[in-house]
Amino acid sequence: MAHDDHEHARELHEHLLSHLPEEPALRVKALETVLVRKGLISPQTIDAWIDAYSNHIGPRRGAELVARAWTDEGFKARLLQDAGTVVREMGYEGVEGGHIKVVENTATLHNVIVCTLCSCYPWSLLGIPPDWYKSAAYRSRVVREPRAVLVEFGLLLEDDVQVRVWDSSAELRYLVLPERPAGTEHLSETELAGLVTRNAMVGTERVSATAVEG
Amino acid sequence: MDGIHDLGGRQGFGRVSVNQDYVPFQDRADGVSLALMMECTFDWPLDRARHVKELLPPVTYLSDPYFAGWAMTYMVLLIQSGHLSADEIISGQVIGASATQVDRTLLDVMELNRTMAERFDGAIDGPPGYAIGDRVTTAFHGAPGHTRLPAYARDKRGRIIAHCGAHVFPDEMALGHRVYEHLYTVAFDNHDLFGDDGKPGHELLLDLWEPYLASVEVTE
Repeated sequence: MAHDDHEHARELHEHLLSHLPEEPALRVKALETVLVRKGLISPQTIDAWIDAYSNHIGPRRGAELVARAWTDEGFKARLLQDAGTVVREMGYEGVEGGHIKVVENTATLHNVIVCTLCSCYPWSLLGIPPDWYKSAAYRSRVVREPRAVLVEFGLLLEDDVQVRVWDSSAELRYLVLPERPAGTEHLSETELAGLVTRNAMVGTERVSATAVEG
Repeated sequence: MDGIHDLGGRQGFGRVSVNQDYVPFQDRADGVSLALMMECTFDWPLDRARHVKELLPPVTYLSDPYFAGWAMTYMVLLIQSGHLSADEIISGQVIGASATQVDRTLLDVMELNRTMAERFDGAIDGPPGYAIGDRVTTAFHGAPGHTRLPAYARDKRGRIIAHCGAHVFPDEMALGHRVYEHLYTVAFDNHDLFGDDGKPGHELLLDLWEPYLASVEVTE
C-alpha cells in the first residue's frame, strides 16, 4: 500500500465512521445489508459460518491433540517436531493454521502465547480467540509482566519456573502442550481431552485433574 | 507505523478481564463480521488488511469490539478494490447486484475453511544470514507503513534460537509484493527489553525476518 493509499484508507475510516451509526453492531449491520443486496454474500452462508465457528471449529480440536500427545509418545514427538503435518492428517488445517508450532510445558518451563500487534491465534485448532486474548490489557501486559497477568487467571507460578512468552509476530501459530496433571493415569484419551481447557492451550492456566471445560 | 495497535509493553490498561466461560458470538454481529471476512477474500494480501485495520482512528481501534474493527477494515478494503462504494454502505442502497450469492451449507464452509489454510513460506536464493546461537540486534527504526517488528523489541539484543525457513516479508506484502526473507525465532531477556524490575525474569520469543536484524560484534 503506497503512502497515498495509506492516507486514503485512513480518511475512508473517518468518512465511514462519521456517517455510520456510532454503535459498532449497527455498523456491522450496514455492511451485512449492502453485501447481501449486492449479491456478495447470502444470509444462509452467514449462518453456516457462525455455526461452524460456534459449534465445530473450537478448542475441542486442540484438546484432542493434547490428550493424544499425553497418551502416545510417538504422536507427541511428531506433534512437537512437525505439528503442521499432524494437523493436516487430522483434517484440522484451516484459516490461521497454515503454520502451526506446538510448545511443551514442563515442571520447570511455562509457555504462554500472545499477539501484541493484532490478535493472531491458531483458529483452526482453538476456534475464535476469547475476548481477553484480544484485549489491550492482555496484549500490552503479558509480554512485560507475564507472572502478574497469570495470577489474574488464577495461576501463581513458582519463582523457579522459567517463563517463555511467545509473541506471534509472523505467520507461525502457537499451541501450548500443557502438562498432564497427576492422578489422571486411569483416564482414557477422551476423558483426558475433557480436562484440557482453551486457556491451558494458550498458557494462561494449567490443566487440573478435576477441571471442567468452560 | 507507530500506531495504536502496537500494544506490547504499554502500561495503564489494568487487569485482564478473564472470561472463563467464553462462548463465541454472544453478540451476533461478531459472527456476521467473521462470515463477511471469510467470504470477502478478494485479491488483497493479509498484511494489507492488517495495515488497514491499524489505520483505524486510535480511539475506535481501542473501543470497537475486535470483529467490528474488522468490519470497518473490510469496508475500506471493499471500497478501495472497487467492490462497493462508501455511498452504498452509508445509504444501504446498492447500484446493481455485482455477483450471484451462493448459499453455502455447514459442510460447504467447513470444507472451504480447511482449504483456506494459507502458507507463507517459499523459496529464497540466498542462504540464511544467521545461525542458531548468533547474537543479533534489532532495527532501531520502525517503518512508515506496515511492519511486524513490535516497538518494544526495537534496537534490542537477542539471540537466534530457530530458523523457520523463508516467509513472505510483511512490510512488502502490505504493498502487494510477494518477497521472501529468512525468518528466525529470536529470544530476548525481559530485562533487556523492559529493565530490571527485580522479579524473576522471563524470555520473550518473536518470529522476525532477516531485514529486521543485524549482527552483533562479540567483543567479550
